[in-house]
Amino acid sequence: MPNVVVDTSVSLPATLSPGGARRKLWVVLAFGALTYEVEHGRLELDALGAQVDQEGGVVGGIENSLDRLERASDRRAALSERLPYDTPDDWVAVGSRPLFDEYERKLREVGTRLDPHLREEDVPLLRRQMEAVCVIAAPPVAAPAVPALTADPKDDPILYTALRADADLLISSDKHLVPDRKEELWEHEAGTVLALTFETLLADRLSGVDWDGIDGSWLTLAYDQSH
Amino acid sequence: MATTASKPQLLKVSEAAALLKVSEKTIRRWIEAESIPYLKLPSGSYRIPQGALLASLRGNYDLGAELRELDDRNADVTDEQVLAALSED
Repeated sequence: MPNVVVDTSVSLPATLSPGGARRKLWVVLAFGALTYEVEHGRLELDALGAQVDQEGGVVGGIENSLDRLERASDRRAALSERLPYDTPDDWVAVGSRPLFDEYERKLREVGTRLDPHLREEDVPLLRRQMEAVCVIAAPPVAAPAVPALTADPKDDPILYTALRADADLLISSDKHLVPDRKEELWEHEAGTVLALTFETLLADRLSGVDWDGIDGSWLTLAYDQSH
Repeated sequence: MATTASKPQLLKVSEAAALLKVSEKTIRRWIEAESIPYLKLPSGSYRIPQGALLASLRGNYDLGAELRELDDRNADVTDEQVLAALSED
């Protein structure tokens, strides 16, 4: 199960350009998120019950969670019916508060340049789209705890998120994170992660995916509440 | 990844609020409404499994309808346009 951290060079086009190549990756990550939610959700609830058995306390809110899991299973099935046969279902995006904040900050910057496509009231909606794909949360990171890792301090929270989350890949086109524009292995006492560009990802890691057979509009199936 | 199904990562109310950028009051309201799973410890404090918490985000908003509206408006926006806007930094 590859856990990936996606920076704004991918997440912004993925959420703003419904017909783009990065949106197709977003559909695959949403498929992975649903699969993770269905497969791990019930186990997580079971583990919660086991903890009560060991340490005491009371568990609540289970009914809504079970209902949510059933609906997630239906949405996953709807998406699976349309996706090409060999589309991976185990690619999972990792999120964190610094990652979401950076997405929102960049969104506001880019928004003024893409007017009239993007309005201020769209920002929280788009942030929710970003958060919904990131099914796993990195350990909370306080800003002062982020060490200097790259030549640009603005990139450090993203890289540190990937390292702390034990992510396998960090997808980015940032010159400080991927200096050779292909891939860069980052090693730190907090962990190790391979940073690579979107193009390298598709060529080296996801070359077997039938991208022509994926439609970016199918992302709505991952969220459609009718399922 | 630290979060595994067999050993859920449990968040304090303050940590859950910080993660989702909502108030602690909102998290407590979700707990009272039983809209998210929680563990109430013998001490009376709460712990929330973060996997289920993140999954619950999808239930609090109609993400599909929001996405359709955004996509309809941005149908002609390309990756290249967004990347060009990003590169102006």
